[in-house]
Amino acid sequence: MSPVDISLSNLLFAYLATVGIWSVARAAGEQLGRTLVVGVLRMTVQLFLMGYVLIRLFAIDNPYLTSFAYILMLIFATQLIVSRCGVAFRGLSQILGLSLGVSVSAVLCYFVTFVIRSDSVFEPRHIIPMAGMILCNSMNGAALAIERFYAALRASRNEFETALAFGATAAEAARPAFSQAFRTSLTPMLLTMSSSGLVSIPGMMVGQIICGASPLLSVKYQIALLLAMTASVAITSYLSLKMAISRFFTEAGTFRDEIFRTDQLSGKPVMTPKRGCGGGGTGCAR
Amino acid sequence: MLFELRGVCLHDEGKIILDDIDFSLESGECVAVTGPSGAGKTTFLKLFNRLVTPTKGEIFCSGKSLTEHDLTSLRRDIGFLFQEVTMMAGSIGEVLLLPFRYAARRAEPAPDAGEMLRALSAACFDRAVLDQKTDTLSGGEKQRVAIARILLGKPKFLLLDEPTSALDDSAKSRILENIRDYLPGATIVFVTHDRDLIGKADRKLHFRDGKITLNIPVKVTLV
Repeated sequence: MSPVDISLSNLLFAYLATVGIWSVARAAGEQLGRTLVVGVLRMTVQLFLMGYVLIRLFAIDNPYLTSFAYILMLIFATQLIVSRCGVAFRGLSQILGLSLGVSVSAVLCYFVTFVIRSDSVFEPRHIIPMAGMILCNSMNGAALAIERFYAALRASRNEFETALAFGATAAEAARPAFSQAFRTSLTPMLLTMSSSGLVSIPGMMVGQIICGASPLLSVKYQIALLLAMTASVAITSYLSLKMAISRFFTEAGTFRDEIFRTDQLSGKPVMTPKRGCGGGGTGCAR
Repeated sequence: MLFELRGVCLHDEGKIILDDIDFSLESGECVAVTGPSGAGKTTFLKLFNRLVTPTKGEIFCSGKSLTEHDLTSLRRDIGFLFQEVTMMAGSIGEVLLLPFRYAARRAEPAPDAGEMLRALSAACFDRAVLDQKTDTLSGGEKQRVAIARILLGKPKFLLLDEPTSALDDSAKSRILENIRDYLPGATIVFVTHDRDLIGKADRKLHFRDGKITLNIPVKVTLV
C-alpha cells in the first residue's frame, strides 16, 4: 500500500485549524494573533525547508554531507538547551554540546549497527530522522535535568549546607538534588514508554502506518526508537549533570548564585537566592 | 588564639550583612552571640567554617589564613547546628550515622549503638530509640537528635545557632553543661535569645546592623 498524498489545496484545510485556535484563545481572553501567525509560518517554512534538504541529502547519500547535517543539528540543539536550562556559566555550551554529542552519537551508532543493521552508519534515511528524534528528547532531558538540579538545590539549601558543615564535598552534599534532577529528566520518557500503545499511538508509528508499513514493523521500529531515546536521555542528563556540577559551586563548596538566570516557565528573572547567610534576618533568604 | 577576624565585611547586592568585624576567640572559650533578627548573627557563625566568604577582611585560624586550611578537615573539626533543623527520612540511628558516610569521615570508625545513645542523652534525649523514624519526632526531639549528631563527630569547636529554641525548660537548663561534659575543652559559640543560657557563657557578643556593638565578659568573679 502506497501513502496517500496530501495535495497543497487539501493541506490548506489543515490551516483552517489556525482559525479554530485563534477563536478558542480569544474566548479564553488570550490575544494569540501575532504569536500564532508567526508560529504557523515558522513551522511551515522550517518543515518544507527540512523536507527539501532531506530529499537532497537522501539523493546525494554522501557520508560527509550526512555528518555535516548531523553536526549542524547538534549545534542547534546545544544552543536551544543553553537558552532553556535557566543557568549561565562559562563552558556551559561545551558541556552540553559534549554530553549531547557523546550520548546521541553512541546510541545512534549502536542502534543503527546492531538493531536496524543498516549497511552504513551514515545512511541518511536512517541516521537523520532518528538523530532528530533522539536529539530532541535528549535536549529536553538535559535542559530539564540542569534546571531541576538548580531548583532542587535552592529548595533544599539548608540540607545542602548541613551536609557541607559535616565535611561533605559539594558533590556529596548535592547528591539528593542530583538524583532528583536525573529522575525528573527521565520521567517523561518513562511515562511515554508506559503509555505507548495503551493511551497513545506514537508519532513515528502513525507516520509509518499511514505510509503503508505493516503495523508490526512500525511497532518494532517504535520500540527500538523509544529505547534509543530513553537511553540517550539518560546518558545526556547524567553526563550534563556530572560535568556541570562543579560549576555550580564555589571553591568552598557553596552556591555560585550568579549562574542563575531566569524562571523557565515565565521567562522572567527570579529572585536570586542570596548567600546562605541569614538566620531570620531581612533580605537574607535561607 | 584559635580564631581571629580582622576587618571582616560581607556585602550582598549592596546590602551590608557584616560590617568591619574584629574579633578573636581563644581555645576553650564559650561565647554567646545576641542581637535582633537580621543583625548578622547566623552569618557571623557561618564565617568560621567558610559557609560564607567575606567580601573584605581576613580570618585566621591558629595563626594561618582560613583559606589555607584544608576545607574538609576544617569542617570536620567544627560542629555546626543550624537554626532550622532538617533531617532525612529514616531512623534516628541512620540520621546519626549520615556524616560518617561522607568521604571525609569514612575512615573514622562509626559510633556504635551505645555511643549514639550516650550522645543522645547528652543532648537531653534520654528516652531515644535508635529505630524510631524521624518523621515521628517533635521539633524539640529533632533538635536533640541534631545536637547528638554533631556531638558524635567529636568536634573541637561548636557553632550553635539557637540550640535551645525548640527545647523545654528542663533541657534548656542542662544542655550546655551536658555538651561541655561530652566534649571537654571544646570551644563553643552560640546564638541565643535565652538569658539563662547567656549567663552560662564566658563572653557575650551583641550584634546590631551587622556590627559587634558589645563584646564583654559575662561571668563576674566575686572576690
